[in-house]
Amino acid sequence: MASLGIHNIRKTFGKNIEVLKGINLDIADGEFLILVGGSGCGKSTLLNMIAGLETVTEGDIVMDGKRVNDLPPKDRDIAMVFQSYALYPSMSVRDNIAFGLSLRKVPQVEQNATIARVAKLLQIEALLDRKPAQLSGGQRQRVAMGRALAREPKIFLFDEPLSNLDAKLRVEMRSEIKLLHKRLGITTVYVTHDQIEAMTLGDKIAVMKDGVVQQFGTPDEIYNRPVNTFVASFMGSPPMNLIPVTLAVNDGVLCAELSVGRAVDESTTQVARLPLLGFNLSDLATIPEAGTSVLLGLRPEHMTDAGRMQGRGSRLTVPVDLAESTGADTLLFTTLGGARCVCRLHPGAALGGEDVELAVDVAAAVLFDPESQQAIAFAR
Amino acid sequence: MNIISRVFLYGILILAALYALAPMWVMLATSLKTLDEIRDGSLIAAPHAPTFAPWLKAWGTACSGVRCDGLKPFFLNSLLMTVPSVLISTLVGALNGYALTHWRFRGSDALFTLLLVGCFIPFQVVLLPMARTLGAIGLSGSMFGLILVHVVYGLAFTTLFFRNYYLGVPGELIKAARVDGAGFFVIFWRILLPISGPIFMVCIIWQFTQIWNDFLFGVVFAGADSQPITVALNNLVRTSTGVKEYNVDMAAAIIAGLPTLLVYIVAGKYFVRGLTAGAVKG
Ligand SMILES: Nc1ncnc2c1ncn2[C@@H]1O[C@H](COP(=O)(O)OP(=O)(O)OP(=O)(O)O)[C@@H](O)[C@H]1O
Ligand SMILES: [Mg+2]
Repeated sequence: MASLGIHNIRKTFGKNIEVLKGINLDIADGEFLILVGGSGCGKSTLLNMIAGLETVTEGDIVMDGKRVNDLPPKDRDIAMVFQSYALYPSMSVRDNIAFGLSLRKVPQVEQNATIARVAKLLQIEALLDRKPAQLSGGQRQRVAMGRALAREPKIFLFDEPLSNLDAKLRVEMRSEIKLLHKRLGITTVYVTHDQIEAMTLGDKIAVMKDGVVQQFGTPDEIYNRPVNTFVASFMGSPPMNLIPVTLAVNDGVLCAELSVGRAVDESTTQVARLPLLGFNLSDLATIPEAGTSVLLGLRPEHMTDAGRMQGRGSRLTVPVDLAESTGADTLLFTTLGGARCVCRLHPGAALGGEDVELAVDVAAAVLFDPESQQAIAFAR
Repeated sequence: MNIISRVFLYGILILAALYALAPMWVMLATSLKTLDEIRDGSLIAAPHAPTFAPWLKAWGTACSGVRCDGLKPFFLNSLLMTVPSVLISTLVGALNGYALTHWRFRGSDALFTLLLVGCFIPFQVVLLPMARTLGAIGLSGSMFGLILVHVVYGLAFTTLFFRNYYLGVPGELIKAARVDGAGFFVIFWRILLPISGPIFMVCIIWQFTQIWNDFLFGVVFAGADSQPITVALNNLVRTSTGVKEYNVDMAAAIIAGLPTLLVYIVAGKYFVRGLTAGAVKG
């Protein structure tokens, strides 16, 4: 087990392909770090550098307080699941799992016990004597997982380890990973595109874009206090709504003025005023003055039907562009401030198509600067 | 219409096959005839009474130069020269290809370019410098020297073959093995070699054919007792004691070409497979 420090890490491929542009992340011993970000933003590259598989162009990688930049992979005591699985094609599943153990001179009896344990955990007992070419994508992925879990390293590195599993298996494996992490407490860095994995597994989440960490914090911070619109719309499904509004002050209360309904249809478009309770007007340093245009960030679950909120929240009546039932909720699509907006309603609501009265929980709102896309004020 | 084009197609194919096989047939038929029959009969006629005497003579007693013990000793020479040359150049080529693709180092691309140029250097160009080098390290006129020459000259090709093959092996495979604790040679031995079958076959066939059939290096660098069969064949054909024994010459030529033929028959299907490997995914 080890703490992990990533200090000012840069990576340049060739002469001028800059992939990582100064990454700073610190996680304590036993913490679970989630890396999320768009395709090609450098997550796998960062993982490879932690593993010692890519050279560090600039900066330091620190494990347990020691700089490990020049330590070869085998001396870093890590175990890794690769995005492409990277199973050894000529070896059976059993040998794939045992390869690292036998190279590390683990006694045969212990190897067998480990293989049995891992195979049971990942439900691949029946596949042990097959070659990787004879496995399905999801089965290969579990073998790749098994190869990593066979050891108890200082750090686990997982590159989208559950991406190819069916929904049920994914949920099962996710909780297995969670339990395993609880039991062993091994420091873990985990790349995923799955919102739920990110929120449920991580102690910390780092949201990356174009080789830069946009925000590094607890899942709660990332979800409720996104520092910019990228983080706000990256985490959460459906993502946070970003509604163009104009600020106004009414009776000493900060309000947002926004157009309701589709702008193309002038006759049905009207201007509504939404009091932004919870924003402290005395906090003038961060809250812009009246008349300023901002983006009002509201998550779908904070814009729900009035019945659900039982009197709380500001009211807003909106037309229905489209309503979709997901089973657990109804997703209502409407247009606010000229932008497409999703609200999460109780099942069966709004399916009639007539206008709906929403209860908007403005106490969960975030204001963003439309120019810089940075957050300028949080309601909480 | 369909039948006509089909007949036409097969006609052309059969003609082409006949054209390619005709010399083989003439050689085989001639080698099984007596000298009298050769003189009187037609070139492509089958032998009336096949005789193996020319074959036995070519193998055991025909004269090349001043020696009159047939091709046998030279056949052995060629084997002794070809087998180690092929194995060494193939194995080193595999290591080179592996290093050039998966353990890239500063200047590895430049090195590869230089090696590529090596493929296009004609034999004649290297003769003189090679002779001086062999002389300098005291290997001129020896079997070892000849093997060294073939290994060095073949490396450019084998490296190219293996490099292109290993380019198709995903880098994460090597990375996974490194994380598991394997080093340069363990990865080569345990991960890459087991999946290199087809390209090994390609290399072995290619190198075997090149080295077994080589004449120039053999005639220049071999000593009197390390001459390969190609040189001996040339001498045998040109050593005439009175009448020209076409049947013995033909038998000798076939004997000299037999091993490459054999290699193709045994490993030919891997050759085609190896050449097209990686062209289709999966
Ligand atoms: N060896 C390399 N040479 C040049 N560019 C590279 C190399 N490896 C990766 N890159 C580039 O670096 C960027 C980051 O790649 P990386 O694989 O880290 O992305 P990622 O965040 O893991 O994406 P994904 O979610 O699709 O897996 C990409 O633009 C990629 O093209
Ligand atoms: Mg990746």
